[in-house]
Amino acid sequence: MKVVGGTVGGLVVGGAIGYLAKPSEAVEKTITQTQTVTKTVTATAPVVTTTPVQLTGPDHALVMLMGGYRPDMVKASLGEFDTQWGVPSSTATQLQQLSGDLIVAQEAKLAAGAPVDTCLSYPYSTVTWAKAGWIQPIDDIKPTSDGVVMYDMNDIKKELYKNLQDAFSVDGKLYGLPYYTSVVGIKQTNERLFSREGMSGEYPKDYKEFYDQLPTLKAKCQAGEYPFLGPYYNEAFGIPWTWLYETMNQGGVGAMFDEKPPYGPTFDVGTLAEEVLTNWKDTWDKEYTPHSVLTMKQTDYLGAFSTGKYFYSDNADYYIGYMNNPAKSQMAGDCGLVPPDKQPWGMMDAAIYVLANRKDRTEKDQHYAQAFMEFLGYKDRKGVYYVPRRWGIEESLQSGFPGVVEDPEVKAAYLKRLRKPEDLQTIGKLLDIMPLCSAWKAAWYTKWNVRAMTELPLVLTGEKSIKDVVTTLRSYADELVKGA
Amino acid sequence: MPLIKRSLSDVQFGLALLLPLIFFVVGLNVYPLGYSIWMSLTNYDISRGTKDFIGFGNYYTVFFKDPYFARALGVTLRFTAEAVIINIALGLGIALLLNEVFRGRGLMRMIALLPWSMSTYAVATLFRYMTSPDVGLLSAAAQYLGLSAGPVTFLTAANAIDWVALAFSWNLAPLGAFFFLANLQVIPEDLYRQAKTDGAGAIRRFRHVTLPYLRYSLLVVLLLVTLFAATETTLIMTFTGGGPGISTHTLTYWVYVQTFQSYAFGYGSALSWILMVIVLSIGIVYFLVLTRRRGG
Repeated sequence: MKVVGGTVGGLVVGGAIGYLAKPSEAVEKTITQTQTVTKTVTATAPVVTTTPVQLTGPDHALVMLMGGYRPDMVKASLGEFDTQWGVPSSTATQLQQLSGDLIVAQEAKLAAGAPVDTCLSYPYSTVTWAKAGWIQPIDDIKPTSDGVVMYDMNDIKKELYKNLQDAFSVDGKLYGLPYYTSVVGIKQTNERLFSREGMSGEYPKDYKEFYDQLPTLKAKCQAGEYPFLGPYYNEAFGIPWTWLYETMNQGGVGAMFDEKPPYGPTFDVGTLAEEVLTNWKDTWDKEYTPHSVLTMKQTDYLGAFSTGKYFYSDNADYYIGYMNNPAKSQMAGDCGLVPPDKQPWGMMDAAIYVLANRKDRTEKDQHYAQAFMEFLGYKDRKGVYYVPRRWGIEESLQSGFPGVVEDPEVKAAYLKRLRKPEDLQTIGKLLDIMPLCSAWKAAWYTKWNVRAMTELPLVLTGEKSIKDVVTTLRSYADELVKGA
Repeated sequence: MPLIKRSLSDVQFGLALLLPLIFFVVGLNVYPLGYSIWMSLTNYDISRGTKDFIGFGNYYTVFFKDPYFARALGVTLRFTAEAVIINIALGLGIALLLNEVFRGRGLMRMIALLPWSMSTYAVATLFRYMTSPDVGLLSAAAQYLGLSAGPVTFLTAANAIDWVALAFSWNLAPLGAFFFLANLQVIPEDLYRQAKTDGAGAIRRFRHVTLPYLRYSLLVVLLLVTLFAATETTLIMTFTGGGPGISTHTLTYWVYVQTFQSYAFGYGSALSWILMVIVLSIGIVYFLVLTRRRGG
């Protein structure tokens, strides 16, 4: 990273990009204070001469939509962008912090044609947004002659993990750069309870062993304790996703939906998907999991596991830091991970920065919007993975670039949040082998997910039989594929 | 002004004055309502990219094909009925109490109003945490008092909607209480004295003296509570998120799911209009029952 930090971003002169050696801090100050790099180019890189490059800021202030997660960090990043790109205070980049369901709140803005430049999308929402014309592909972004856009997207794509490129593409076009990538459904353990029962390290190697272990753990539970905090919580990424990854982990990516377009359903009565629900029902009926999970939101779910009353929980990898943080968790320092053995635990999740189709954008605005996206999802003007590194260091968010993942400072920060160094290998291994739900690339998937979120809890509450629910969801998926 | 007046007739001048208001009413009410009706007659769906006119297709689907509509309607009616009953009982109880003369009555009136001053989101969050088995006050109290050995799950599929009705009523009851209190204070004291002289007990005095005076405030409170309850979304989204399962999926929640999660704007609009007709019908029934003249 020191090497990267020792370069200054490319400046475009006459349509060509040149990466210049950064001579001193004074270079940046020149950019910031005078909003021109003419002198800098002349003074520090005599090989690149001719046309002066002026950074005067966009015609309209850039607008970014974001949820409530670490607004301090987001605001600091925006400030850094404005400083590096010479954006004057009159058009300083604006952050609009949205509350509630982030996807829904953003969609309301996009559908209404509100002035938005950048927002967050997920693999399953990107396809819908792209088809609605709310966001634009970014494949053609190239350095611009005004010096605003620094990097060629083709070069960025060469660095970006291949599976992420696929996840962020619609009809072969790339629609965003990564905010984070993670494994959702990783099996977390409460080592305090395992140690108390003399069972440290007695981890299951697959789901069969996991379910077989639950009765033993139940017998050891004290008042208020449970073997498992079932991830059946009430979120779009709660109960429906659990069904997806638990089935895919055991049967492969194609165990739920076809791997190729139109990504039709492969699950049905009599398949592994039904078996998974049978295990859930048993877990529910025998109270290996508390029944309160069905009304939990994700924050409740995290809060519940952090009370230290559960042996196991399924979570996103980055929440390990939360569980091992003494300020937030009663089991701090004792949250471990079950390493993958015969199969993976969980599936890939990711969020991306997307470029909205803002209507009042001028050509200059477009360049700034593109540069802003590259800054957030890739590098700053100095060639540093500024934003991805900060998320990695401060919040354990995995990036989509090896340069960030392998960064020693990012690794060190991650290790601090883990119970033991081996857990970092567990995360690394899972990131390598985790499946991605193929149907996320279908525009109809969101509808199916909503139906799954409605139907799956009925299995647990006993209002519908497993077969009925599987049949309903299968028929609905068939209907959606047919109507697509 | 005289110049304008001279060139316009009185009617024209009056219309000119109304023009800004008409503009706002059309812009803020008529246009959105009209657009919503039009959407309900289309298959407007952003995930499918469709926006074709389909007549009453959405309405047909709601009544004959949607497997969740009847259930959501049932949950809505149950929630609304419970909310109305608890609100009226609480509101009237508080009003009768605050109508009595006692020391600290002013302070009590202020305290009684406090729940109403809280945002729906805050109320939902408060109840969510209060009923949480892991960190909730009620669960902790039950364990402390020895009523339960472990955490208690209060929100079950069978009774979660009752908890939502309770939270809703706790928040809104002060509104009704102050409507009733205002009415109670204008009832002539002589009427009570005469009733007492005639040998009427407390219940008969309430029925024959107090209640007739409360009729119009009762109508207003009934209408408001019904309207608010039947269209409540924020409380449900934040408190239970529609769960456990779909046990607190009311019609408005179903509108939210269809429109903003499933992207079916046309279908969501049709559901909204059906809900509006239902609420309007209930309102008309209230009005007819409570404003009919007595006697022959």
